[in-house]
Amino acid sequence: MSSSTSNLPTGGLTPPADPGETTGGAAQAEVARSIVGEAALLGRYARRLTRSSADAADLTQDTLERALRGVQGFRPGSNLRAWLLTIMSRLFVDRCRKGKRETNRDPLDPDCLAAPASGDEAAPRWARLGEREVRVALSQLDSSFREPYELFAVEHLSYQAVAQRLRIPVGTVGTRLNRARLKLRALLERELEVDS
Amino acid sequence: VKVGCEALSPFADGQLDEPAALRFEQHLALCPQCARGLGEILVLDDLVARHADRPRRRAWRGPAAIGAVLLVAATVLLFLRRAPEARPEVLVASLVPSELRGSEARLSYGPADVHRPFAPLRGGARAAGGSVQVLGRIEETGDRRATAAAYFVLGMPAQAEVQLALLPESADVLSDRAAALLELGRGLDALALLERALRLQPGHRQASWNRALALRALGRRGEAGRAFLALAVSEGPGWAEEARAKARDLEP
Repeated sequence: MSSSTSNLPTGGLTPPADPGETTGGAAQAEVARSIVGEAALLGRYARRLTRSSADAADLTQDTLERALRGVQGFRPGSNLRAWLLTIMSRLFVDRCRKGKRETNRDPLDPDCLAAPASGDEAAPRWARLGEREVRVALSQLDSSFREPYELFAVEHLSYQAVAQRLRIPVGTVGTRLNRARLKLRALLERELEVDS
Repeated sequence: VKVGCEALSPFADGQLDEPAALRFEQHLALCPQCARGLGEILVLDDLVARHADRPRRRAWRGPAAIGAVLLVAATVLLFLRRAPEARPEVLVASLVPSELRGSEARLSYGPADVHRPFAPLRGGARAAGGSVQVLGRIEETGDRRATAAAYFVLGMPAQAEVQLALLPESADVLSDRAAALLELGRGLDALALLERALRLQPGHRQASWNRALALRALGRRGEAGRAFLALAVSEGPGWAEEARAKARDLEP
């Protein structure tokens, strides 16, 4: 497999719709700095997907490389973490599609890194919403959904720990999280409409 | 048992057992809806984690974690600006566990010297799967210090020491060699290298840290305690607290 990266294109991401919104030199360096600064965050989410520290390190590395190569495609002012997490989930799905999760893979395989195999890497539109809108949406969630969801997503408790804290069966935690996310997404979409 | 769309949420949350998770990965490969949904779950969880009106757990936003990330970022960017391809520094940074560190000793190799709480891991257990591939890529770059750091981070201090012994002597190299020797239980040899490192560069941060560890390993508790107390004053967030705790443990 190739150990050289010289044949790789410098950008593997969907170009922004408006070229005027691309980042310039100094701004790109700033975004690159921010991208690398999110390595620890990406690592934590990668572990959730890969269930292995080693695979998580690989996935994080690939995500960082892919984002840094495509840094000019990031729209300033949009949600960087959402963009990175979207890239990471796409890379993970690509790995599943290629059946490479079970085999020794070369992370610099051009097919793996350069091609936007899943198409659009734009984060969901509601990812641009800020603290106020997110809190408004959360406040409209029934507490039986909001509580377990916040314990999981904000306090990072396991399903087991959430179940113990709220004295509900573990199976119920999964159901409530699922429902909480569905409802919250709908509420955020509504906030987006109100905003625009 | 077939695993379908209903398993997306528990899969994304890392809550499926391994056989079910592997079956869901097969489903994920074929289901565009779940493929899109997976990214949305991560983005939504992060959005809520950032903005919810609720205290977050320390591990996600402690000053030490932020400092650590900035340190990695600063080091890494120095090299990213030169060339877009994977640099050994980036690769080593990707091997460094973000929550805990497996060795008490410190490396002077920037991307690997990030403070995280110390938690001993069983040797060899860390060097699995993809990490070995990353290690191979680092070795291919011919950068011995990066290779040594990677071996060290992956819990293979003997291999790290071999790499470092081939490099010209400097305070950094001596200190990192001593870190590897400490891991191997060779406190006396480590101390000799650290004294040499500190003669070459008095006040060398990692060498000072490792020296305190070496003194403690050799049973020189009083000297070790004083060395850690000094580090509690001179070191930054994370390291200072750890040094203070270690000094406390050494009090008679």
